Amino acid sequence: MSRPKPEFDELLRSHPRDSRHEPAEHPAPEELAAYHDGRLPPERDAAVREHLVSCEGCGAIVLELATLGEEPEEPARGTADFAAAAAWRRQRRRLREHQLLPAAGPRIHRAWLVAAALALVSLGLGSWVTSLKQTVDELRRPQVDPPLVSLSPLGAERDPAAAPDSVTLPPGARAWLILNLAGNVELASYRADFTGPDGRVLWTLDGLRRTPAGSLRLELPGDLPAGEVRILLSGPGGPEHDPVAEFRLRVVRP
Amino acid sequence: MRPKPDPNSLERVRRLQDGTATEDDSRWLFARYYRWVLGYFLRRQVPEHRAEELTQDTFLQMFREIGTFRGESTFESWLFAIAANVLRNERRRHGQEMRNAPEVPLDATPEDAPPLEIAADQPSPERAAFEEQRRQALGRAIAELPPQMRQCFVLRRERELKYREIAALLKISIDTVKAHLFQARQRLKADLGEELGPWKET
Repeated sequence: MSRPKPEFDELLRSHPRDSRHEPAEHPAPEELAAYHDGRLPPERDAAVREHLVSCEGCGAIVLELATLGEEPEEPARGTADFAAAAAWRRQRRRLREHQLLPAAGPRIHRAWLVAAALALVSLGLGSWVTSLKQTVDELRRPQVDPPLVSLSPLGAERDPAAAPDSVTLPPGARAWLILNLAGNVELASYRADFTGPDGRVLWTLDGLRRTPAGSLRLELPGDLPAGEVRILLSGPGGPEHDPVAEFRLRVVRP
Repeated sequence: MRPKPDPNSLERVRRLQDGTATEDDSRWLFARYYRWVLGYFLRRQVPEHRAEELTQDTFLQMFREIGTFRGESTFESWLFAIAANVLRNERRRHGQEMRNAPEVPLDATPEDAPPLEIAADQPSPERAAFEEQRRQALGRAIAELPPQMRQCFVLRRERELKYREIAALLKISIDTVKAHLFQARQRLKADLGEELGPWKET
């Protein structure tokens, strides 16, 4: 009986589809990941590649890693933070059950942090109290007839070229300032910026209110430097947005 | 997309490995990659509640095996290899459960009825010997192909992978895969033709 001529494609089709044998040992996930990353030395790379040809499971893992690079950005932009926090609490419980959770943190380290924080707060409080005490002492010190300076705004009521009113302030002395605003628009509150000759703001006072007489009364700070001071009066928006009036004063320090 | 390698992660991994980590290191790693891993499972059509569980499983395994991580791959690749393994086990378990489902009995045949017999189309002994000779010859010829060509052939013929899957697995281009498969066919046809005689014209 003569042998029939074989057909090549028929022969290929007859080749068993599942002729491979599942290997007994498999590379660790890290080795598969390193293979995918191209970080294995040539011999191990070749060995893993050969394994992947016969092992469907390991091949599937490498294919998964390969397809990850083609996928869009992670979709969890909409995942609320509280969901992640809740997930961490569940994970934390499991890690604790499996004794895989590290310690919360070195207790002694935390204690030192708390102690240092308390020390800083104490220092800050102490220095604030001292300064407060000094202020109170200063205010308690009796002063007979503190000077009272009444100023009129520059412009219609006062010639800008004229010499400013002056006030003599010995060290630690107080003085009262009256800013006359007759005829000026009524605002709920005012702001006064004291500036030196160089334009630097020396002092700012907010929330000033008119007296029944229509003027503003304020106490001059004891540490104003000697020299000419511009007093810019404005509404709550400040001198740039809410200007009201300008005054001049010369401080004399004996 | 996999997150880019993060040196901050490696620092925390190192602390977990040498025992100097605090809970905050674990929490940081979890928070850093939680959304990526969850998204990975969701994109593979895992139901949401199950995706969350598999995410937890992945991180648990990661923390359990962190001591074995040697830095041969990036930490991110390793984490996703663990996730892929978790997914594979999940699919295998799901398939296993399907296979173990109780069979629905067919309409009962009478107990005393003889079992049905199907006559097999048995080849003649000569034919069977010829077929076996061909199969063995093909097996030998495949084994003698150059390594990468053989790997392409096996992955295509036996695992029925797509070209791009073969390319991804072997880290070569799709064009190289196609070239290998074409050349493998040519070589096998030539080599086997010498052994088995001329091919039937198709």
